[in-house]
Amino acid sequence: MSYKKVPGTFAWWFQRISGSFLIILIFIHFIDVHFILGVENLDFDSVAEKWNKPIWRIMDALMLILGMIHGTNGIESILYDFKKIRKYEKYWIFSIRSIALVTIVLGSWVILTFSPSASQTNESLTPVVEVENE
Amino acid sequence: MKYSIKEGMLSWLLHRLTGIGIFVFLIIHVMGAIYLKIGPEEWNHHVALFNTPFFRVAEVGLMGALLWHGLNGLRIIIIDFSGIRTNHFAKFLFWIIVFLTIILLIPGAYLLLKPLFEGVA
Repeated sequence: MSYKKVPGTFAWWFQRISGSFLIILIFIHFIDVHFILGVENLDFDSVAEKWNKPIWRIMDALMLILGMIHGTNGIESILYDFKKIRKYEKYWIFSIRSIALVTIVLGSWVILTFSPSASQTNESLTPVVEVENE
Repeated sequence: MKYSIKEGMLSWLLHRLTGIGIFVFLIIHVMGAIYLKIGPEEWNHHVALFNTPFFRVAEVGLMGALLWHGLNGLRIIIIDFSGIRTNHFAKFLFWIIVFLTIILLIPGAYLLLKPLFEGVA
């Protein structure tokens, strides 16, 4: 096989490598959320317990970043196939990448700064202190 | 030959449609996760939505889209890196992933929808 170094070669490789990682990451995520935990048990405490282990936060952040870039690449290659849309390439590339960037930043912010007891008004995880008797 | 063109087009079209769907879902999914920063009650209220009949059924669609996109992506990788460029091989792999998608989606759909019939959701 020989590939010329043309624009898009990086995207070509990135789609295949990120895609392979995403298969594994999303497989684990889907089975964990839907079949092991179950969507009926996804309450705040379950997230706190899960994100107590850094490995889950790393996996979720990796899934978010790879997924968004993989999706952005994919959407761009779809739009590129439409001649009429291609005229405005600069604008839609800017728009899609902005949406992706905002999603990555917001998602990473949630994953990395989540703290079950710090800022939130969470009663269930903070030690229960008996305040007063009636 | 006629068939291999049809299958190639179908897998190509499905790959794009499922890709767009998963991408849109991912953005909404991440936006929903912001409820984790707002507060426990808000988050619990948000995830209660997923335990409704509509979302249970939608999750089967999501699982199908993910299975198809992932397996077809693997098929593309195999075709690219195996160096086998015959229609026969591409078609053979196409039917393998159709089979795998169905075989994996049946128990998946069963597990996802089971609570509906048990009256839990």
